[in-house]
Formats: sequence, structure tokens, C-alpha cells
Amino acid sequence: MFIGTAKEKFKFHNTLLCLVQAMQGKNITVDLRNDSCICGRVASVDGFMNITFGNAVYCDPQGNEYQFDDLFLQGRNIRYVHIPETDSILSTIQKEIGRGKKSKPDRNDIKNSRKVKKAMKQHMETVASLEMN
Amino acid sequence: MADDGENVSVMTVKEPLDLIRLSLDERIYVKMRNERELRGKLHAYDQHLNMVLGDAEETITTVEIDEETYEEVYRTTKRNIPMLFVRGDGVILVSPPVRVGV
Repeated sequence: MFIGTAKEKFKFHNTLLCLVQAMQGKNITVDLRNDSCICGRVASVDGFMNITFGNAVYCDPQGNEYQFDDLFLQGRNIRYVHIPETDSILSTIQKEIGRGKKSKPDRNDIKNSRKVKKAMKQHMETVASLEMN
Repeated sequence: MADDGENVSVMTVKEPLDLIRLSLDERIYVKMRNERELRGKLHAYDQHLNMVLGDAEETITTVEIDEETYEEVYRTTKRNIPMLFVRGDGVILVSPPVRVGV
């Protein structure tokens, strides 16, 4: 389940932010507005598209490469995110939005739960005792 | 979003972004800031104009001054990306593909 402020949650559910979130744990390349790029494993993405990388390589426009164990990227500096091969964008989004959501409890389970059985038993006992009188 | 394909003909255009919906799963042309252009198949978009383009081709135009004649020389570099997420704040315009070299 996505954690964040209400605004972040709104963005997650209403924009393509969820697609970037789905990249968590994957190795991706991100092109930055200053023509440099970052390749690395996505550790986390927040509601402003800020990305935390683990084990990342930062390539500046001159072609120099810098290695980082942990790297934080502010969302507004992103130009492109290269998405690795996926079967379908739509299913990726659906999976990401559905991830961590509590599934509704089964109706049959409710009907047969211990609490319901106990209440039913008490009810039957009360009815029986009333009939006795 | 792609499932709406068959409803496109009956869909009404109420706001400008609905026009972009008509281009879903079609190739589009995107003009970006910093003299960049993109052509690719539109898979998804949102209200910020964040977009997902498939088989994207990026064209970067740079201007150089010829040292001898002092003329402006336009040079374009192209690259292809199989699947690209584009952040909306860099987008200038979205249109059906324009023919190049006509």
C-alpha cells in the first residue's frame, strides 16, 4: 500500500506516478533535465516522483561516471524514465494500484465466523429459555 | 485506457485533454523543451501530460556556428528507446505525427 500524505496518495491514484512506483526494485535509467543520466536500482519513489536509488551510477553530460551507494533524485529534475521491457503498461499499472490493498472478506467467512456462531448460540439459548417459561 | 478503443467513435470531446485520448495507441509527435522532439506510440497519459511512449524516437537539435563562415549549422541527433516515460513538465505540444522532410 502506498504510504504518504493525502496529496501524494491522490497523485499516486490519479496520475502516471503509479507507473514510476511500479519500477521499485528494478534497474532503470533516468534522463535528467541537465542532460545527465542516472542508472541504478530504484529503492523507493514518493508522491512527488522523487526517487531514491541504491547502487547508482551518475553520468554527467561530459561523459564522466560517478558511483553512488545511495542516491536521492528530486522529481522535478526528471526528463525521461526508461521503462524496462514489460508485457503491458496497463496491467503493470493495475497490478501496482491493486498491490497491498486489503481484499474484502468473504461473505461466507463472515457467516461462519466464531463471533457469529457464538451470537447465534446465545440467541437460540434465549429463545429456548423463553419457550420453557 | 487502451480498452476504450472501440468507444472512441462515440466519445465526446469536452475538454482539451480528450483530444489526446483520441490519439491513444496511435503514433504521436511531442515537442519538448530544449529543442527536443519525440515520436512514438502513445500508451498512456495523465493530466500533467506525463506520457508513456512506445518505440520512441528522440530528435535533439543543436545549433553550432561554423568557425569559418559564421553560419548557423543545425545538427540533429537521434536515438531510439523501446519504452519511455516522459515527465509532463517538459512537454510543449502534442500532435499527430508530422511528416519529416516534406
